Amino acid sequence: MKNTWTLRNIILLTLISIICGVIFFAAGFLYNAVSLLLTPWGLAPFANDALLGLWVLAAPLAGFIFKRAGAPVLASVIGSIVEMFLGGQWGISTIISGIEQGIASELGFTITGYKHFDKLAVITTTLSTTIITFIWDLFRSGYNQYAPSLLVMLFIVRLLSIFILGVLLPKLVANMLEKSRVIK
Amino acid sequence: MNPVLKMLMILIIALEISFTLSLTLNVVIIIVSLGYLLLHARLTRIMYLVTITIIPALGIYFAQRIHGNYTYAILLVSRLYAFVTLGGTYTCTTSIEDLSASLEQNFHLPAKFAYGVMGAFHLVDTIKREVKNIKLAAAMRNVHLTYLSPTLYFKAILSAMNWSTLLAQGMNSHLFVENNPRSHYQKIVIHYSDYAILLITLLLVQIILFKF
Amino acid sequence: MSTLQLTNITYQFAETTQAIFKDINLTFPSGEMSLIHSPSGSGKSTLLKIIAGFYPEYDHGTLHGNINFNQQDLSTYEEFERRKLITMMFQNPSQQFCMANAYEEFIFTLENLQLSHDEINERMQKAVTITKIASLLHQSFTTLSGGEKQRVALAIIIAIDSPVILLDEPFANVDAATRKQLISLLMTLKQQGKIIIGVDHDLSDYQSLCDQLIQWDSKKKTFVSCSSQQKQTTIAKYNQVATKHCKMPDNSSASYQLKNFSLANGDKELLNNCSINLMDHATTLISGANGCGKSTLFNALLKQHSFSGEVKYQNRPLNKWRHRKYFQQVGLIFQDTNQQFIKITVKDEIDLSKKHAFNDWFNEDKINQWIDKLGLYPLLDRIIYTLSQGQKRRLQILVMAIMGHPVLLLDEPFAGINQDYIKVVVDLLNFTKQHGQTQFIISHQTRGLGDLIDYHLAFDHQQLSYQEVF
Ligand SMILES: Nc1ncnc2c1ncn2[C@@H]1O[C@H](COP(=O)(O)OP(=O)(O)OP(=O)(O)O)[C@@H](O)[C@H]1O
Ligand SMILES: Nc1ncnc2c1ncn2[C@@H]1O[C@H](COP(=O)(O)OP(=O)(O)OP(=O)(O)O)[C@@H](O)[C@H]1O
Ligand SMILES: [Mg+2]
Ligand SMILES: [Mg+2]
Repeated sequence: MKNTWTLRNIILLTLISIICGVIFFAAGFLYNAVSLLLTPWGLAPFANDALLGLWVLAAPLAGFIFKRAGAPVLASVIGSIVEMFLGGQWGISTIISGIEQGIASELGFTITGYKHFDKLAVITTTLSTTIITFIWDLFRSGYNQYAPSLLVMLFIVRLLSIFILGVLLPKLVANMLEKSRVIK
Repeated sequence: MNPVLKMLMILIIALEISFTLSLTLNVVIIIVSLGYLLLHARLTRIMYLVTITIIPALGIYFAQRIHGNYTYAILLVSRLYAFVTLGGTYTCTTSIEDLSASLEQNFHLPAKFAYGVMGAFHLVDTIKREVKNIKLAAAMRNVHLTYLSPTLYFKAILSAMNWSTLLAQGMNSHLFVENNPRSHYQKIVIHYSDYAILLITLLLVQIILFKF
Repeated sequence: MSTLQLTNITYQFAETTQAIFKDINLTFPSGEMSLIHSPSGSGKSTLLKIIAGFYPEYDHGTLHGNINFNQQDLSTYEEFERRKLITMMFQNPSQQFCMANAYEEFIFTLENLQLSHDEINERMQKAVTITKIASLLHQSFTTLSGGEKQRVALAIIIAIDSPVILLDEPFANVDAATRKQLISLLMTLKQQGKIIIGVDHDLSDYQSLCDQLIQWDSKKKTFVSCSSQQKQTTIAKYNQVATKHCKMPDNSSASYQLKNFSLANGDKELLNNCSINLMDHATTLISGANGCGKSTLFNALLKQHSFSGEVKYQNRPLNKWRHRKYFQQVGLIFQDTNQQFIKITVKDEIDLSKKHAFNDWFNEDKINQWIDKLGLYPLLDRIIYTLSQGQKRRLQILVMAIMGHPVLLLDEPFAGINQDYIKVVVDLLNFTKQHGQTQFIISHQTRGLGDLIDYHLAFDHQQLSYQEVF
């Protein structure tokens, strides 16, 4: 792929973020169901952390498909704007999260100097995304008020979710696409 | 108000309440936003926004009650509603077309971004129908896909790749050429009053934040 | 007088070993209409996309030769100048719109042309009036019917008003009356001195419009302009309209029974309180003007669109049929070919049908025979998206035929395939009919279907009625 954002690539990036946006939107319903189940025990944040992988997947997916600086952030931001216009339930905070998550996973690729889009990138992106979004939620979602044991559990759940749903899954999809010879 | 300035204003407010702990500010935002929504949005839409948010709100509330801190519980719930109503005030009056037209005309966003994103956005309905049809076509071939099947998303992305190449050509065929100047059927101007509203609103937010 | 001239055009797709055509030399003078009429897959769409400047840019293939406009090489033009000079209407019109509706698309296009507010209004008004699309102007593209989309696409091309106009099967989904209208519209464009290059498998109504007929020379793998004698005889063949008699329904068994059936799309009423039986073990042709609701009727039969009244399939109300069971019974050939496929290559797609067929009407040998007859052998390893429109159409019909559904609904299965292949497809459908398949075919194109059609159901004035001829 050429090094600039061509019209075609902009469209493709947007389409991919939209597909992810639709997944976010659907994940919203799933979140509600799970969260409702966990609410009586006060464990609703686990719904958030367990599904977080789905919400962040646009950025790594774009990273693995475009292999280019900026793709993760753009995909994440555009996806969140689209989600807001589609009527997602988080209102304006969707966009803020989109920016924050995009930067978080972009960092994972930046650390490797955009040289790696393999296992190493899977690891660095998983870590950067988990850590940054967790720190963010310490303040924004009041996680800093929770008991430390709960925090540790939440962190582990989030790490697993981001690893499996948020990074590994997109990596596999990108691999499938590459094998199918449609990515040139 | 100008779509971009309005977005900027709302984003700044949202960012501020993400990291500050003013219940008063949250409540003021909710009341003002709801008032605005009552004037500009349909009642069903408002009801939807308010009710759908109850679930996560309860979740946060009980989590803080049981494992955290009571004042925080109230604060977080009000913050959540502030986000949702604030977002609602934007999407009920402004379309993605307005936003990207202003970004193109007033903020020098390259037209290829404005229209590339918009072209893709207009494919949303097509893609939704396509996803439905993929399921239908598959059922007729005795393959049963659910919304959890990776094949469904793989196929969706595959058709996105196809669409992106075709749509880019389609836009070219309608004389869209990257970096070429365009005229504008509707000129978007930013009024001084837009800046004034932006500044005054932000100022009010700071006052509430620090005085109350 | 201006001319467009192709000299020694040769083109090879990326990752292939052979050029798809070689040394094309053609001249297109202004005020003339040229028509390319050649087998499906010979490279018509490719040639038009080369002239319009989409290939090799979007395809990364290799192009040799020159395209000159008034002796000036097009490759020396600025991109925008070139696009302004040559506009193209795509084979699949949905792929040409980037805005939400025709009105916005006009504005987008004319803004690109750097026109002022008033000029935009004026051009749009004119194009809308002569193509009669005023009622479609604000309707979302996603809800337009196949033929309506083609009319809108043409309207926009007309608004651009470029000297060279390329039309890739502009009438594939258009009904007979509209087709006549649009062809006479092309006549006026021609008289204004434009260069028009069109592609069509159906040559009827072109008698007075077409100045140059271009055919495929399969030995030399090139397109050639044929003599005016040849042109006359070829076109004349299409002007014989033979009406065929067909059966009227008797009391033999019905596959579908409609009772007080009403159908609407948004606020548009399509069928009003219609009660009729659809025949079993036979082929029924469904005809009707663009936008009368044929595709929507199919959608209703497929439980994809709501309706009022009662529909019974095999004496059982439609809503009593379980999803999974029902789609083992009823299959659809989509009007938009791309929707049919779920695999990546041609071979995978055929294998999937082999593996999952509901009835074993086809054995290995039979399948191979049909692959061959339909000209799909050389394409087995190809990615489906790179097939030509007609190739996709033939593959689509084959994979659905192999599935062996008791009922097959076909939405415009003959659009985009040439006469020779229409014959093969008719044979294939007759073969599955002999095994007991019931078929319903929506088609504007009726040439060559004499051996297939048993009943003719006309869709008109919000009613369905059987006809004695088609
Ligand atoms: N990217 C590609 N790689 C390899 N072959 C291709 C590619 N794209 C198209 N082809 C092949 O080139 C040939 C010409 O395709 P084209 O679409 O131009 O045919 P056509 O004459 O327009 O056919 P139809 O009448 O069916 O529309 C076809 O055999 C097609 O399969
Ligand atoms: N939401 C809507 N509101 C109003 N009209 C609509 C809506 N959706 C579809 N229509 C109209 O319903 C009509 C039926 O469409 P359909 O696709 O069934 O037509 P068709 O008979 O298959 O036509 P064609 O031969 O062109 O494919 C069209 O005129 C279309 O514009
Ligand atoms: Mg073609
Ligand atoms: Mg139709």
